[in-house]
Amino acid sequence: MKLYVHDDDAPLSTLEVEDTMTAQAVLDLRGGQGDLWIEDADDPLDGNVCVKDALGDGRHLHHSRRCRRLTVTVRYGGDTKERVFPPAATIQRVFQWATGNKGFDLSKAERAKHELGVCGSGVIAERREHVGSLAGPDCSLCLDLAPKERFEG
Amino acid sequence: MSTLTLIPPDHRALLADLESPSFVLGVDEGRWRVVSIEWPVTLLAVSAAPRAGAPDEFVLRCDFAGYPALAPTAVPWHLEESRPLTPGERPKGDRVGFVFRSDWKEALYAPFDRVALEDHQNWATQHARFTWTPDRDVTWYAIRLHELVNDDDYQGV
Repeated sequence: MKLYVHDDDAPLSTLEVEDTMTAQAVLDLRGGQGDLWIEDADDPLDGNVCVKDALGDGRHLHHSRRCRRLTVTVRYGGDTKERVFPPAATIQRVFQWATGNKGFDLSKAERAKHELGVCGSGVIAERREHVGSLAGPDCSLCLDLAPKERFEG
Repeated sequence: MSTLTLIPPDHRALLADLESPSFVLGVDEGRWRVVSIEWPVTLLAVSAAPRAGAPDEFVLRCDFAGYPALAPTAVPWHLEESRPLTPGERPKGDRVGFVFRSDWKEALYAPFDRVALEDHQNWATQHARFTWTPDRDVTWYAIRLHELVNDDDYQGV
């Protein structure tokens, strides 16, 4: 089975594993340190769990070595909202929270016109990326919720 | 002399990036695919959100000469008839309509297109997050194209 493994620091990688391998066995293939998470899961995989069974139809794992919880701050219109996410949370999940009624409560039309970027950088926070892959070593991530750019002029 | 050494560095760089996990993931998930490469021309098909009367993918005739130091440039392409898409065949919408505009040069109207960047040097600062730089790669480029035709704003053709 081919897995896509997101990491705290390294680019996305692939890993071929046996269908019967446990999370601990997969972790051992990658040096044994840290935790493995299923994409968007709130808790890391138990080492005894069969990865294939746990993934179901999914193929994305996150290998975190630093943070089990990350503080995500989103800035919008002079205001900020903060929430703790697991490292395997997708930016899509953060976007849904930030634009939803527990975030900045944007209308459906307004949501469609906004996107997230990493504060003070030229980096677009891609919807498929994991929070843990964008966060700094202090286990925090700052994102700007900004209008999508139109290329005119 | 091996075949590999006959391939120019820009072509080799693109071939290597087409095999990267992030690009292959997009292929595996049906977000994009490479139709053909006749260097430096690469036909890249990008899947589009379903819209009434619109195709399920758009093909771009991309020129990757100078990759990755230089931005690619691309023309929306009719695969069967080997020609640029007519205005009526191009994707429409608030953002995507501008990028795929036909009342301009044969290129994408975006800061990740070489021809557009040459004409709009202010875009490099005005739209820095979307401007091609040598540290970008073909996956980043494919994501930009894919998000345009999968945006809520995309209205079909």
